[in-house]
Amino acid sequence: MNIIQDLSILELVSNASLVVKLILALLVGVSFTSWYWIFRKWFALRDARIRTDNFERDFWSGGDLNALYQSAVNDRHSTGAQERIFEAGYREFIKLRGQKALDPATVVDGARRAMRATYQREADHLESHLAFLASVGSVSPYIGLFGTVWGIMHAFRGLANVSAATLANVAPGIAEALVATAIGLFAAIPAVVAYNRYAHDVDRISVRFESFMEEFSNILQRQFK
Amino acid sequence: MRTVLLQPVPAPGKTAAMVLAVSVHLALTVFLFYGVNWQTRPAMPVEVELVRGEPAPPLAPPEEAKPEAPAEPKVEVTPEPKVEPRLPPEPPPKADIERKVKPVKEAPPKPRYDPLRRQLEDEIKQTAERKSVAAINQEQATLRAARAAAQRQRAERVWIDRIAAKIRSNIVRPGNVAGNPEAKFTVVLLPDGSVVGEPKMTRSTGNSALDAAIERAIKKSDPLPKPDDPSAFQRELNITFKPFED
Repeated sequence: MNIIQDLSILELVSNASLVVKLILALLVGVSFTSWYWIFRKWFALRDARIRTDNFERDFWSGGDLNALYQSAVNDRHSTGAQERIFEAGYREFIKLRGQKALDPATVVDGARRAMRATYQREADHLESHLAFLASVGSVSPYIGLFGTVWGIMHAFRGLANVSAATLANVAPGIAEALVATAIGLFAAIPAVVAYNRYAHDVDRISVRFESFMEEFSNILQRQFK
Repeated sequence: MRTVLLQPVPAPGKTAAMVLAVSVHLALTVFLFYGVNWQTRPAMPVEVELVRGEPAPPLAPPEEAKPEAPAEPKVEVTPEPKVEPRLPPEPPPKADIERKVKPVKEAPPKPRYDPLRRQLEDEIKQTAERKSVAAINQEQATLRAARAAAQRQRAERVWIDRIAAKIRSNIVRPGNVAGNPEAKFTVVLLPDGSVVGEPKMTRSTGNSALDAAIERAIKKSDPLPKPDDPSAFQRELNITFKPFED
């Protein structure tokens, strides 16, 4: 028996059993997807934060509401989430104010409902794919563990054919199997960190949107006086 | 005023995210490839093979010169350098001469080498016109071929000796052997020295226990040593054993 083992990662993977190989492939795919979404959500959330900052600065600098509304309508494809909330609310407000029969409370309520609908869509968009990161974070260690358990079973079954069982008989098999756990953890740890971080970011942006909606409702209310 | 559904705009950065994800995994792959390289390489025992019969391997160069000395120098010293004046752009023969001349003129110490060589060259120039270059070349080629063949044969003998020594060291001799009987085995080898199939016995020792012991020893010695000179390799080898030859 040849005891000399060259345990490079390629050898480990190529010597693994089929189930372990499939699990490794699955984990690599999952890890890749999760990293893709980590980066995309990172860009998206940073973008949303910057746009919200910019719009709040414009809004509270005391500009004309009509001018703000016009600019929001004109470049709708490059506006941020908060700007769209503002646009929806102000559009509803203009429409309802045109009808003389309605009292101010109804008009403001209508505008607030429009803003809430847009806000919910925006919040949903910001939160999308975070559930995927959460799933990856919680499940991929188990997938990796399954691969490891399977690989170790495989390694021990090989012992049955050997008369004198030594550690050298099982060590390569166990090392092979542990690669699965390593890849599973590599997929899981960034996903969990990213999920916690992004969930927190989304919460903070949502709070900003909600307080903006309340404040903007007050401003609309004041328009009647 | 037209009512437009205010849809969230998908965030940019698809390709950037893709590229970054790929690079993260490439970095991981590189790290794993270079970082994880456990080697469980125990200290190898040093194997020493004692070969008797042909003291050739360590003493090869002087031996090479001596047996050929009577035949070669005369032929070699005179014809070979003739190439030099006529065909100057052929350095290998010249190098060959320099190397060959030394052992032949063993007695003169170094300082005397140069004048000797000049004298030799003069002689050569005189005889140069007499022989045609073609004849010289042919002579050289046959000489070289003969030398190569001799060398290969020697390497092969050394190699077979090493194989026999290794196998002999693995023979567990049965107790009831009378005299020193000889056995011959034919072994088929792969270039890496491993034995193909079963070794064939072409001559028995007359003692079946001893025959079986030799056969076991051949299998135990697999892979057999490789020849130092790969050209000396032969696929089929006839090995002669005298188990008590030490």
